[in-house]
Amino acid sequence: MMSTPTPTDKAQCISSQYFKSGASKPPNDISNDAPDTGEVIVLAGNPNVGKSVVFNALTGLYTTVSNYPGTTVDIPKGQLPDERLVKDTPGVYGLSQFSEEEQVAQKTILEADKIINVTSAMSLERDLFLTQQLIDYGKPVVMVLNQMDEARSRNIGIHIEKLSTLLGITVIPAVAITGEGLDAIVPALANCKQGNKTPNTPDLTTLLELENNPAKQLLVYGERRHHVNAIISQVVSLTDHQKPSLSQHMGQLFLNPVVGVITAMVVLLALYQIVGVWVAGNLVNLTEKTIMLGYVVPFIQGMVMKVVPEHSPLFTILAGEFGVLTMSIQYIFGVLFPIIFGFYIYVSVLEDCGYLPRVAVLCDSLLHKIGLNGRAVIPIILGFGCVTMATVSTRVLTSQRERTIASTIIAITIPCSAQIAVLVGLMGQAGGFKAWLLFLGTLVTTLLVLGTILNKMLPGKSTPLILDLPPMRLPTVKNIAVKTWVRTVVFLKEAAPLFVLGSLLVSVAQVTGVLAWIEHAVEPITMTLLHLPAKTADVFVMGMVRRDFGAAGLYFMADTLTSVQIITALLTITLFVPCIASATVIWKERGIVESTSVLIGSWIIAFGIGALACRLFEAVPFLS
Amino acid sequence: MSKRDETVTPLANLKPGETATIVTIDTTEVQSQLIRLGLDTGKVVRCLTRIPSGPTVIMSGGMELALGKDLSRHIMVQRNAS
Repeated sequence: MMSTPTPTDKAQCISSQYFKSGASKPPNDISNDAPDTGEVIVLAGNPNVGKSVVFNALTGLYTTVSNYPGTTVDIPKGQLPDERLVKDTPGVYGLSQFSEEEQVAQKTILEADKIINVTSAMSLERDLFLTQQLIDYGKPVVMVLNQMDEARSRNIGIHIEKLSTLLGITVIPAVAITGEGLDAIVPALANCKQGNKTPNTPDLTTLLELENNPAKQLLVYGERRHHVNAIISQVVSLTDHQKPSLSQHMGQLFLNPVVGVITAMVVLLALYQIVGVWVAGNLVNLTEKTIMLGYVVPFIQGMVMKVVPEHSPLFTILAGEFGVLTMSIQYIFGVLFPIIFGFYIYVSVLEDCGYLPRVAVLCDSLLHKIGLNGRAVIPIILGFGCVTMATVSTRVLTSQRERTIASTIIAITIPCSAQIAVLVGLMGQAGGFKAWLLFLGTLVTTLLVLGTILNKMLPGKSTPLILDLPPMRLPTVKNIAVKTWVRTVVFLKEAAPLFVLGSLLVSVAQVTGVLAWIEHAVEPITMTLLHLPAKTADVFVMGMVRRDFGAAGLYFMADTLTSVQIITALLTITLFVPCIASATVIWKERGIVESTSVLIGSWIIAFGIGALACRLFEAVPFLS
Repeated sequence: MSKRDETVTPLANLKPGETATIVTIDTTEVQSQLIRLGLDTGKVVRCLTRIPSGPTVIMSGGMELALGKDLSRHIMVQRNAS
C-alpha cells in the first residue's frame, strides 16, 4: 500500500475543458468576443502542425475563446499588433462534415477574409489537401510551412519557390517553436492571394453541396488528391522514410502490446502518485486546510458577520458550511485549482510527447466491443482526473453515438481523482489487496456490461479507427507551461459559476430542511438494500454535493463497518451519479434527455450493483 | 519498377517491414477520409506494426497511420518485392 491520506483532504473536481490528443488548443471560455470589425484572418491547418504556437506568436497570450454559435466547439480569438482580428480553428484534415469540429472549421473559414494555412514540412503530402481545398474555396491564403528543422534533419528537401509557384500563394518556411520565419507572416498578409485551383474544380456553391453527396464528394476529393500528389512529386525531393529515426523507434516500442501494458501501468501509477497522493493529498491539505480554512474562510465569515447576523438563514447561505462565499472559494481555489493544474501538466506532457495516440491504438479492439474506438481512450483517461473535463473532451469522438456511450461510461464507472483519493484511504481498512480486487473487478465488469448493453441498444455501429500518430517528441517546458496555464484559467472561469450555483442550491436545501429530509428518505434504501447502517444515507446525499464530504463521513464510520460494508459503500459511491457540477456539464454537453437518463441510470446501477455485491460477498465466505 | 507478388491481400495481412501498393478500397464509408489523408489506389505504403487482433499501423507519405482491424481488412494491397 502506498501512503494513506485522509479522505477529508480529497477533492472532487470539475472542469470543462477542451482536450485533444497531440494538439495544443486554447480552450473553451465564456468571456466576451473580440470586436468583430474589419478584416478577419483565420488560421487553418491539420492537427499536430504547430498551429497553436503560430497563433500564440501572432496574438500573444491575451486571447479570448468563445463557442461557435450553436455548437460547443471553441474558436480562440486574438488580435494582431495592428488590431486585426485573428481566429483559430480546430485542427482538421479537410473541410468536410465528418465531425462537429470540421463543420465549425468550415463555417469559420467561410467567414474569413484571409487564411493563414499552417502546414508541416514533415507531412506536406497530407497537409496539402487542406491547403488545396482552401484554394479551391477561392479564399486568399498564405501558407506557413512549419517544422522545417525536423524536415532538414530527416533529409526531406522541399523546393519552396516551386511550391509557391504551383500553388499560386506565398509560402513561408518556419520553425514555430523557435520563432524562425514567423516575422514574415504579417507582411505576407498584405500580398495574400487566391491560389491556383484544382483544374476543373466546381464553384464554391457546388463544392459545399457535394459534402452531403458521398459519391460526388469522392470524385472531387479524388481529383484534388491527384492534383496535390502531382505537386508533391515536383517539390519534395528525397524522403528517407526507409530509415527509421529514434523517435520512430520509440513510437514503435510503445505500440508493442507487452511494452504498452507495462507503460500504461507505470503511467497510471505515476498519475495516481502525483495527482492522487501528492497533489490531491499533500498539496490540497496545505491549500485547503491551512490556507483556506485557516485564514481565508474565517476572514470571509468575519466580513459577512458584520452585515448579516450569525446563525441567520442568510448567513448560512452566504458563509455557512456550504456557503456561496465560503465553500465556493474554499473549493475552487483550495481544492480544484491545485488538482486541475497538476492534472493538466501531467496530461499535457502525455499529449505533447505523442504517447496518448499510441495507447489509443492498443486499446482499439477492446473499445470496439463497447461500441467505441481507440480515440475514446483520451476522454476515459481524463475521467480519472475529472468527469466534467472528460465529458467535454468526448468532442474528439466522431459520432454522437460514441459520445453518448463514452460520456455515460465515464460518468458512471470511472472514479475521478477525488474518489480515487478516498478509495485509497478506505481500502486499507477494508482488507487491502483483496478489497481492491473485489472493488476493481466489480467496476470493470460493470463498465464492460454497461458498454456492451449500450452498444447493442443504440442504433448504428462503431466507426473505424483512422488515427494519425504524431512523432514521439520531447515536450518543451514552455509549451507545457503555456498550455497548462491557459487550460487551468479557462477551466476556472467556466467552473466557478457552476460551483456558486451548486453551493447556493445546497445551502438553501440545508436552511429549508430539505437536505435533512432527503437524508431521512434515503435511509431505508441503505439499510434494506445495501445492508448498511442508516447513517450512511448522509454519505450518499453529501456525495452528490461533493464526494469527499460524504466519503469523509464514511471514513469516520469505518471502524464500525465490516469490510463488505466498506466495499459496498465505496462501490455505490463510485457508481453513483457524478457530483452536481459534472451533472451540470453533462446536461450542457449532452442535452436534457441524455443527462436525465444518465442520472437515473446511475442511481439504478449504483444501488443495484451495491445490493448484488453485498449479497454476493456475504454469501461467499472467501470473498468476505 | 519493382517486381510484384501477384496475389492481392488485405492490408491487415502485411507483416511489419513489408511494402505494398493499394489496389482497391472496399469500403465507401470512410473512403473520402482516407483520400484526404493520402490513402488512395496506387499509393505505396509500408507496414510498421500489427497489433494482435487490432489495428494495423502503416507508414504513408511520411506519417504513421493506424487503421482499425475491420478497415484494414477492406483495403486490398499487392505486395511489392523488397
